[in-house]
Amino acid sequence: MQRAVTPPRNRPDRRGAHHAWRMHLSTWILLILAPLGLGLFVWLAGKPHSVVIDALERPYVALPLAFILFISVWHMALGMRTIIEDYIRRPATLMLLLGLNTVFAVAVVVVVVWSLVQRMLGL
Amino acid sequence: MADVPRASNKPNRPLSPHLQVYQPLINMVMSIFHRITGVGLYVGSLLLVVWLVSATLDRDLFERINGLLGTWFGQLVLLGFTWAYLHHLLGGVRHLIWDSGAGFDLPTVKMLSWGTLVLSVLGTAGIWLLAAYV
Repeated sequence: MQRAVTPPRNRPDRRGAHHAWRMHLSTWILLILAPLGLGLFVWLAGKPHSVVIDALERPYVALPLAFILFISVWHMALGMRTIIEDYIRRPATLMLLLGLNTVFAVAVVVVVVWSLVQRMLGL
Repeated sequence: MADVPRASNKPNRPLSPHLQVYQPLINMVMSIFHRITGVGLYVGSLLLVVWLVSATLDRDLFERINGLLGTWFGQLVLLGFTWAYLHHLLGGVRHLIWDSGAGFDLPTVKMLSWGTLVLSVLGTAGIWLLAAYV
């Protein structure tokens, strides 16, 4: 089938609707859960190490926190993708920055989840 | 089509947006703030990650980072992070309302935009007062 509209040059894919749905989903999840995450940080901010680690080692804190951070990073990567696509026109730079955005997101999730899980399991 | 006004008929009109007479609209400013706070939170998330990961790794490292966050500069950054967080959250609610198709008449647009700014400042003050005195 002939496509009526050619995609803009700075959009490497045709997944705008998919992007919008994922943004909506992550926004709704964060709207419900992110205040809990912020509340935890406000509560733990400035507390000594023993108090912080005592809270973070509990599975009912660590697991929801890891989930909130995962959704946050997902949301962040989606938002940064839009910003990059808005401002960058050179295809090579565009692909590079989108790649770095993904690498950053995956790295943050891996490091955070690993650090919480290894502590929770007492590795 | 002779009655359609064309730009070339009015050569003396200033270019738009003419920066000396241009009035920024609150919804536009809040839209820009939404993007800026989004980028700020993207970068600022590294702070929380460093704090969190250091807590799980090494006590001394954690206490040193905790000390840095306790300085006036660290507190300023955390204050800014709190405001950016609330502003972006409220902006997100505004976008969800608009995405549902509601709230597009101008008074509502203006009210939602000012509401984002006012509530984010009040909320930040509230959280910090709560953290300081409770």
